Amino acid sequence: MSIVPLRLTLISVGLLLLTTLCGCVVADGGYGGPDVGVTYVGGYVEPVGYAYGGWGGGYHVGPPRGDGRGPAHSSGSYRAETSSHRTPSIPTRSRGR
Amino acid sequence: MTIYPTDSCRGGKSMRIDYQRIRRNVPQSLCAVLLYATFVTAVMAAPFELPPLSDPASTEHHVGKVIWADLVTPDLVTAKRFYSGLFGWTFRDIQTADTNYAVALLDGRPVAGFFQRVIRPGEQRQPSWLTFLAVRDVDATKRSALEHGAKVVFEPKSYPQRGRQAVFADPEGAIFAVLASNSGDPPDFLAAPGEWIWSALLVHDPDTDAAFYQALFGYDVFELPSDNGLKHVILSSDEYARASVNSLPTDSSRRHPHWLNFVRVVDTVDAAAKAVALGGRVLVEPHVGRHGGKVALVADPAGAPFGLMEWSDTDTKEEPK
Repeated sequence: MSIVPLRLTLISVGLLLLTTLCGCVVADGGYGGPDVGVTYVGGYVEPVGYAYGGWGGGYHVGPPRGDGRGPAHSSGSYRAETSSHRTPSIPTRSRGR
Repeated sequence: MTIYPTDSCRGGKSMRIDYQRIRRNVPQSLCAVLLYATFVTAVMAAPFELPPLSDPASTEHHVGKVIWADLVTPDLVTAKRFYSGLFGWTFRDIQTADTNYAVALLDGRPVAGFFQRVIRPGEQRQPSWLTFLAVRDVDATKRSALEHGAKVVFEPKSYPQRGRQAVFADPEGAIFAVLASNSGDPPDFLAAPGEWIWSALLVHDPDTDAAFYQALFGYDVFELPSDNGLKHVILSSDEYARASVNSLPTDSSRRHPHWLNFVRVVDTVDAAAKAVALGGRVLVEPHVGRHGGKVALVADPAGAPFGLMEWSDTDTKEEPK
């Protein structure tokens, strides 16, 4: 065997080992949560057995049209906007306009 | 040594096997195989790279805006076929040794991510869409979330082009993600058909959960009138409505808090029928929503729920200043 292919072979083996070793290193501390081992942060799946839907009449989830008004007070634990502040809607400007 | 076989397999011509030549070529062949193996290993071992959210980069930041959604599904091929048929999305694959991810595009713009995750029998899990909210500092948001009763599902992690992201469970257990985009947040435009237009959080106690999200994202909160006794609260930032917080329907105990994202469609009835034809199913039949357009809730073939929403822009209101 001539010296050139031998040298190429050794370099190739070295590169292969180095690359494999680098591939085994987990950067940034790995992953937490219940899905340890899943390599993408976001790979969450919901538990089964729950029902979706069941929206009866008058059940609204959509955005307002921007013509309503906020409540004068809130029964909730959040800080509500006052009645002088109009309830906003979604953006209406189209792309390219 | 040269061998001359007495018989031949091709047209009666003799086939000469030159073993000396083969022996001479062994090192070169070995080199080629090893170089190929190195190349393949390098590709497989490459770090998982997500593309930037905004390309070209945006200088805008909209804390609290829903800026991304990831579908986590066990069957990437079926999911691609379904969403491509329904919304015309195309896909760009990002594969590494242990991650199958695809970016869904609409007219060349990224609209969603598809992450393939095997769900083992007995795992008691189902596919879902994960909602990403914009933040400036993921680690600061994590500290605030923990202070206000949330739990960490996935620790913060950085992706060089995409940014830093983490996944939390809010105090009621609804799962959401936060993302500090390295390329800025997408500008505030009206969603085109096929793009996400709205998000809703369905929980047992909208008041308490709205307070949690207000603490994290600084939302302005508005409560809309309801004629069924169920809460409908709007979270807004930059003078735009970003999401709603709704009471979960009370008809069943098998309800759990969750985020829902809605894609804008031209015709909700047609889109729902198309979803069924493509292997999905309807969870809530099309009906007129508060904004005047029709809304429906469907599930993709793997069971991940998402909404369909019409939005007519012919009667849009005054642009917020």
